[in-house]
Formats: sequence, structure tokens, C-alpha cells
Amino acid sequence: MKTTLATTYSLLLVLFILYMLVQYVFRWQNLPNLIPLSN
Amino acid sequence: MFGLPPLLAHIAELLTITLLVGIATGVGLVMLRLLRVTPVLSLGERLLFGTMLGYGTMSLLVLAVGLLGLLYTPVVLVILVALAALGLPLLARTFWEAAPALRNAFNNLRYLPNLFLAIVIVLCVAASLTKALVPVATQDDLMYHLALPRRYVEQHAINFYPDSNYSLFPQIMEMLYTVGLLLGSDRISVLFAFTTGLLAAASAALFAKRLLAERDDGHPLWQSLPLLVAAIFLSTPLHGFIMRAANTDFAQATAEMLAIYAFYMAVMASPQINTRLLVLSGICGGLSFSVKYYGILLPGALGLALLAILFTRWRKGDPTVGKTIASNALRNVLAYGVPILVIGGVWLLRNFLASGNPVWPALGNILGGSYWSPAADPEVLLGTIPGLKWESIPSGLEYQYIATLGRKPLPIDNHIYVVSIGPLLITSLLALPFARWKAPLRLVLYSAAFVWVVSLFYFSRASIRYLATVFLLCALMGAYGLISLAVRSRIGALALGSVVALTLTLLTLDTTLSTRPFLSTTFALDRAAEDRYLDAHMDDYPIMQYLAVNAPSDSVVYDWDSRPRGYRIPHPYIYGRLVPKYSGVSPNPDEWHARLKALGITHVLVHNRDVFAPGYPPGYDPDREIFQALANRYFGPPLVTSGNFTLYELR
Repeated sequence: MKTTLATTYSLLLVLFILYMLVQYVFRWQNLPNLIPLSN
Repeated sequence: MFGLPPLLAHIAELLTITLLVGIATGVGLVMLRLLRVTPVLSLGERLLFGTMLGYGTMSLLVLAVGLLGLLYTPVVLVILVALAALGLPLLARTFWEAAPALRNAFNNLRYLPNLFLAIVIVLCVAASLTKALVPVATQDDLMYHLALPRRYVEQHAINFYPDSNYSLFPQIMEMLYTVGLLLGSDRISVLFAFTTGLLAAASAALFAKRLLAERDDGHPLWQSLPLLVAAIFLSTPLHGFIMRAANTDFAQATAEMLAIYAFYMAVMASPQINTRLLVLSGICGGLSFSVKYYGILLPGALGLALLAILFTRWRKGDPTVGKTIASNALRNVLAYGVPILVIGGVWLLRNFLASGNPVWPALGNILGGSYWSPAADPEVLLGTIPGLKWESIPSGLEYQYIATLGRKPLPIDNHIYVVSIGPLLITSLLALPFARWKAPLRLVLYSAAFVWVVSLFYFSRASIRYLATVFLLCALMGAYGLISLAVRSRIGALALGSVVALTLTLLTLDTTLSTRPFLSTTFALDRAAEDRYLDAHMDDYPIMQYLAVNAPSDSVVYDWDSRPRGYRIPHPYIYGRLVPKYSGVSPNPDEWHARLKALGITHVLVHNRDVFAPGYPPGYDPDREIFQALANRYFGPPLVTSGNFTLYELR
């Protein structure tokens, strides 16, 4: 039971990381930059 | 350095920084031995704590020499030789001892995930290094991280420069940057900062190795935990961006991580408190404050935690144990608190003597101090603090979201930088519900949460770099969470392993490719390449060249900018806006002009742009009209214009 839960959660996390990765790769289309950065 | 072509100079600079780090580590090892904590620390821990302690020692010595007005290269060389004589023998013996450990580390690379993570780390570090070795042209370095050390070197003394509101910030890293300048290369200064990025990653990795890696389930993935921590941290795009300049964020993150590290081992690892390790934690806390004023927050929170732990143990223990705890309580509190007070007190005392306010220019409304008045507060352009109100939470969260996850690549200094935290750093925290919630993890989580919550209220109007410690702790927790989840099922391990490997590969590829605009300068054999770089990436560089060639040698430049850049101005200069009362900012142009003449000002460098004052609406400029009145009456025609910068003669 615990293993099934861990596997399911892992797969969901994998999907979320992939989603974030796609966001990152296509970052040029991301939100506008609203706050200037002090470097 | 030494007038060498860039590539050869960088080789010399890398050798020099290696030697300097070696000297610092050797001195730190001696200090650890004096503290008698050596037996409880692993080899890696000794080297790590030793380097940080050595940096602190070296810095405080430079501060002392500077305050005495003896800041000359030979004096600093003598200090370095003395420190080398003190520390290098012990360092050499430690390295001898390290040989088997190094062999072991290389053997560990036979495990494929370890090899992969090592390659990620090496490529990310190499990419950051390539960017760090181009000529200094980054805003904060030009404004104060290197501008103040340049003034110290020129004056052979560490003085109070009241035109810069950064002049009395704690400056332990700037003392090391001063050493770099005295040795003839600002790239050595930048490399000092660069090493703190490596130290930060190493401190989190070693913490994970010692206190979080679980070997009882026998899963081989646990041996990859330290490298995964370092890989997640170093492949984060924001961190590569920070490591290219002489910032101080990672020095603070390292000191705070080490304070947490020593605190855990001193107080929480066993029922008996190890007072000597508590002293070590206090020293690291003092060093954190010595990097930045707000570096006191986390050590302060650890101090409160110490009191709470002592109280709880005293109440819960049986009477005999309670008595021992009570009788040792004062000793333990002092062991932690005194090093913080002594090291931090150095800066506070110096500031009080220089300006009348120990934390100048902060808290001027309570403590006053030089050139402070309610109408001309030197804190204005540092930004406002939103304060302890509920509205600060959603606005702080919005800022953090945009700055960490929602920010598109930014054009800075005519480069395009990826400054987000990437897809892995925060996301991996979602694996934590499957982690074993042991005490070291809880301490890390509470520390990260504390800094994060405080930042919502206090620093959400500043740079996201101020969360460096939180991000370091996130890398630590995220890596632990990922492995904790992966070892629970074979499919999970395969899926998570693949996607983490894919993400790290893409991040590393992206980071490696982003070095392209820097390669022709860093690896140049022609010194003109550095001029070309500055021409292309520093908008005001043509004005610096104009001043160098055309302005008389006794010229003094008035730099009218909300974020002025003095480091490359080839003459003495005064920042106009940061401490308005010092430079005489006044609605009466005649009075203002008289003050400028008294300061010897001959030229005015104006940066026409939206004033950047965090917390104020973009473009908010309280002095726009009065400055125009001054310009109309006393400025000559423009001498030279470059980008948004214009140089005038002051009549």
C-alpha cells in the first residue's frame, strides 16, 4: 500500500517537474518582468 | 594582473586565489584546534569550517590594518606570509591525511548517478567561473563591493565615506576584496566571492552527508545525496548569476549554514551540549553578521532556540539532570552569544566611532548619526520596509513568485541573464512528505521558514538574492526529499531519477551555452579584448575614458545617480544621491552649489533614468525638480554622452 502510494506520488511529482521544465525551456513566453532586479 | 594577457592573468589569479584559500584554511584549522573541536569534525568539516574561520581572521586583520592607516601591499603581504607560516604546516598534514578520503571519493564516482552529478557540478562551476573572470562591470561591484575597497587602497586606510550609505555596512567580504585589489587584480576579489558559492554548496552537502543520508535501508542512492544537494544548488540559474560578481550573498549563506551545522552538532546531536561546538556556531553567526547587517537574524533565532531547548530540557529532565542543565546554562548561552557579540561588536563599535550610529545608516530615526535628518534619510534609496502588516504577506509572496519562478530572462549590462530559480529547486520540496522527519531536517526547515517569513515582511522589496540562505537550505531539503521518495519504489526511482537527470542536463546545457558571450574575453590573449568587453557591457565606460584623457588630474566627479557606479571613475568622486545631506542636496541651488564647490567638485555625471528605490513606485524621484534648478544655473554644456549617462562641467 505504502509503495503504491509512493509510486503514484512519484509519478505525479515527475509530471509536475516536467511541467516546470517546459515552463523553463519556454521561458521567453513567461510572465512579464514586473520588478527590476538589483544585481 | 601584472599586465598579462587575460588568459595568462586568469591562470595567475586562479593560482593566487588557491594559495589564499589555502592560507585561510590553514589558519582556520589552527583555530579549530585551539577551540578543541577537531576530534568531533570530519576531514571535510574541518576544511570547510576552517576556510570560513580563516576568511574571518584574514578579513579582521585587514580591517585592523586599514583602520590604522597601514593599508599597503607590503604590510598585507607580511600578514599573509605570517598567516601562511601559522597555518600551512597543519594544512599540509591534513592533506596528507586526506589522500585516502580523496581516493575513496574518486572510487565513488564509479557509481553512475554520482558520476553524472559530478559532471553537472563541474560544468556549472566552470560556466560561472568563465563569467566571473571578465572585467568587472556589474552594478553592485561598481557601486560599493569593489568601489569601497578601491577607495581604501587609494587612501591606504579604511575611512568613513559619508557619501555612500554602504560605507559602514559590515564588510568582512569587502576586506578580502581589498586584498585582491592590493595584490593587483580585482578578479582575485571576485574569485573570493566565487569561492563562497562553492563553500555554500559544500557546507549543505556535508551537512546532508553527515546528518541526513540514511544507510539503514541499504539503498545505493543515498550515497548520491551530497552531490545531489550541490548539483541542485549550483545548477540553479540565479546562483550562477550571483557567482559571477563580487556579491556577498553566498558568504552569508555559508556562514549561516555553518552556524546551523555547528548548532545542531552542539545542541541537538546528543543530550549533552558540546560547549566548544556552540562557540563555533557563535563564531559563524558573528561572521554572518559581519557580511551583512541582517545576517544577525538567523543567528539570533538560533540563540532563541538555544534558550528554548535549555528551558525544555530543564523542565522535562529529572531533578539531577535539570540541575546540571541549569548550572551549565549560563556557560552555554555565553559560549554561543559572546562570539557573536565580539565579532559583531567590532563593526558596531567602528560605526559608532565613525558616525555616532552603530548601525548607520539604518535606524537613523532612533539613533541619528552623521548626515541623517528626517527630511534627508540615507535609507530612502536603499528601499522601504513594508513592515509587520498582513498586506505584506500577499505582496511579498507575489514578489517572490515573480522573482523566483515567473521571471523571464533579463537584459543586464547588455547580456541576457536567466535569473530565475529554475524548475527544480522549489519543486523538489514537494517530495518531502515522504522524507523521514528527523531532527536535522526539522532544524533546517525551521531555519529556512524563519528566514523566508522574515523576508516576506522585510526584504520583499529588495533583491531576491537576499534569500540565498533559504535557497541553499531548499537544495538540501529538496535533494533529501527526492531521494527519500525515490528509494520507496523501483518505478518511482526510475521515473524520478530520469526526470531529475533530464532537468539537470538541460540546466547544465543552458548554463554552459550561456558562457558564449564571455568566452572571447575570458580566454583572450589580447588585452584589448577587455576594453572591448567594457565598451560593450558598461554603458558609462566611454565617459570613464573621456574623464581619463580629458579631465585635469585634480578633477572631482559628482555622481548623480540613484545607483551610482564609482569603481571605474578615474578620479576622486562623490556620490550625490545616497546621502543627500552630505552632498548638500538643497532646494536652494546656490547653497547646494557652494557645498559642491567646497567638496572640490569639477564635473557632474548624470544618469538619466527612472530612479530605482525598492518599495517606491518606479521612477519616484523626490529630487528631480531641485536638481534641474541646480543644472539650469550651474552646469556647462554636455561634455560627453553615452547611453543614458551625460557628463557636465560644474561652473
